[in-house]
Amino acid sequence: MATFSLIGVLSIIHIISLAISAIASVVLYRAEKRSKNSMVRQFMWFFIFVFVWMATFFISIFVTTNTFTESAGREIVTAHGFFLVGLAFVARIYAKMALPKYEKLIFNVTMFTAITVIALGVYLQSPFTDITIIKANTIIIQISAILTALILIPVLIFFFTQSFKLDDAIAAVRSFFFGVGFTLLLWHAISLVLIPTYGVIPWIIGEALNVLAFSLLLAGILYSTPTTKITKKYTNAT
Amino acid sequence: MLLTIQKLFIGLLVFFILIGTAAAYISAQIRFNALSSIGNELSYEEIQEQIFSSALQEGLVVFLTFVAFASVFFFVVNVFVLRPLLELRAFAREQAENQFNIRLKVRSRNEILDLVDVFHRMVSRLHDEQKHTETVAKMKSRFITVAGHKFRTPLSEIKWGLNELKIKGLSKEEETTVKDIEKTTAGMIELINDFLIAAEIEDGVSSYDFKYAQIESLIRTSVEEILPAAKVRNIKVTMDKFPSNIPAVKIDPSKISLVLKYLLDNAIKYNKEIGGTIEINLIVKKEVMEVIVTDNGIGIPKEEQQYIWGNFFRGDKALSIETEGTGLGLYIAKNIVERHGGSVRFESKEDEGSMFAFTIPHEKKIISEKEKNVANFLSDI
Repeated sequence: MATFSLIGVLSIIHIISLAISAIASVVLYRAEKRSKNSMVRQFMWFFIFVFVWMATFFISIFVTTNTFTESAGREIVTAHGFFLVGLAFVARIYAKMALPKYEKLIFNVTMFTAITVIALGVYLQSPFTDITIIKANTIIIQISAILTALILIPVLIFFFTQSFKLDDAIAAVRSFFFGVGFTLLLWHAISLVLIPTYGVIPWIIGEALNVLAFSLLLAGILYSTPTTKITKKYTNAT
Repeated sequence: MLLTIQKLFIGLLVFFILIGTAAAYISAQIRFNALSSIGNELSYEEIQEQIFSSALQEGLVVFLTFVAFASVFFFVVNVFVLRPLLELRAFAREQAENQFNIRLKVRSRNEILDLVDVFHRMVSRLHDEQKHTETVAKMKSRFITVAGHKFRTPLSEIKWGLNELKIKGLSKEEETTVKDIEKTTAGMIELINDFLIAAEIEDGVSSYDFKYAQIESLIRTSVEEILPAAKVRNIKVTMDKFPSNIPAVKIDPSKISLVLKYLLDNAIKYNKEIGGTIEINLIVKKEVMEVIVTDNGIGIPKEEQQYIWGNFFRGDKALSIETEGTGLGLYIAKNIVERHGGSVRFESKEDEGSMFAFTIPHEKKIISEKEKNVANFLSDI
């Protein structure tokens, strides 16, 4: 019963995150077509990989006839691999804004690390090792969490700092939304590390916070200053 | 302020979520303790499943309740208070830029609607006043322009005629008279030119021919031009050694020369009878260069200082010393400098002298690549 509830909750969470990342990708695609800004394109790629991450999770849970633990155990490496690849694009955006000279280096290093983590996960789950799927999973989750934290901490600090530094109100609010969004994503990474000690509850909460995190990132993307509406029918004016 | 409130709400939302998380932990701990006290009746897997099941339910309920409350609260405050106020602020900004034809439509049905209504009435009145003022100003400018051109033509003919007379040869008495007429005519032409420039400024039709030029050469030329007049009044004119590597500035040289002429003319006109001095400095700062003209003349009384950049203003003391003049020089100078993206300032003490300065930007503000990238990313989305 508990397993069914968990799968149900996770499915709902992933569908919402899936929808948000799809909307964000489309909005960013249109923004990139308009502005030709490479950073906007990289942010779009982040959301595309988040979409794939969520889709992989969702499909693995939805189609499985096994228990949740086994199902998630098999797919978690691939799914998180997509997220790590997505994060490499966030690292690139951060690098371009904070350390422009090292943009390519940072991107290449994070991308290489993400791919290495996926390869390591596949190897650990293969019959060539004696490690169980659950054990392999735990190792990969912890490495992924550390990598996520390493990428996201400077990113969220940067966005928070910019939100107080920028003169442009729209940019400042967007930066603040991104800062909060990435903070909640960081919580997701931390919750993964807590699983071996505290069980799956912090993870479930972390997954739920993902929805909020992506909502805030989407809010940041869609945020714009209200403009006055021109109307000739306004009767209060003399 | 409003954006700070929005940020505060988001902060509160995050805070509530963290409390929900903590509640889930506590709930799990309590259930674990309760189940542990039962003893060995349940297996480890059963205990874990029960803890998980209850904590998941309780934690999610607390979590979702907080999220729901915070979201509804944030939504209501945002839609009915913050957004209308932000719209009003945006509206007020547009009004400040004279877009009086715009009307705001707010969704809120409370005091904010009244505030918008009052604002609209105020804006309408301002609009009417502004239209009236603009009409009067246009009529005045048109009159000055037409009259100025009509006066300048005969004055130029008089000037030409006097030159003809001088060429033909005059007696000493006639020569003195002609010189007086010539001086008066030149003063009149200068006065009319000032009127026409001021009218152009008010109509917003002044034409500028911006080009890169060395400002120090303009200063030197202007100083050379006023030296004869300074010599007549025994005024000592000094120029500090200009800094090396002065960057070229994009200016209209004829207009900046005019500014220098007005400042230097004033420094001569309103200087001391004995022991007068004028000092000209050029300082190159990070983004602007500043030209400073200092004299030890009569100074400006404190009560008159606030009016000196206005048009047609002449101080009582200035009038007693120099009856000629339009009171347009500083007004025109200020407008020209501002058109160049610079600013004017002055310091003055009665009977001790005045310091007038103007700045001209010599380079665009350099934005670092990082700042450019941040601004582009956050605005292009």
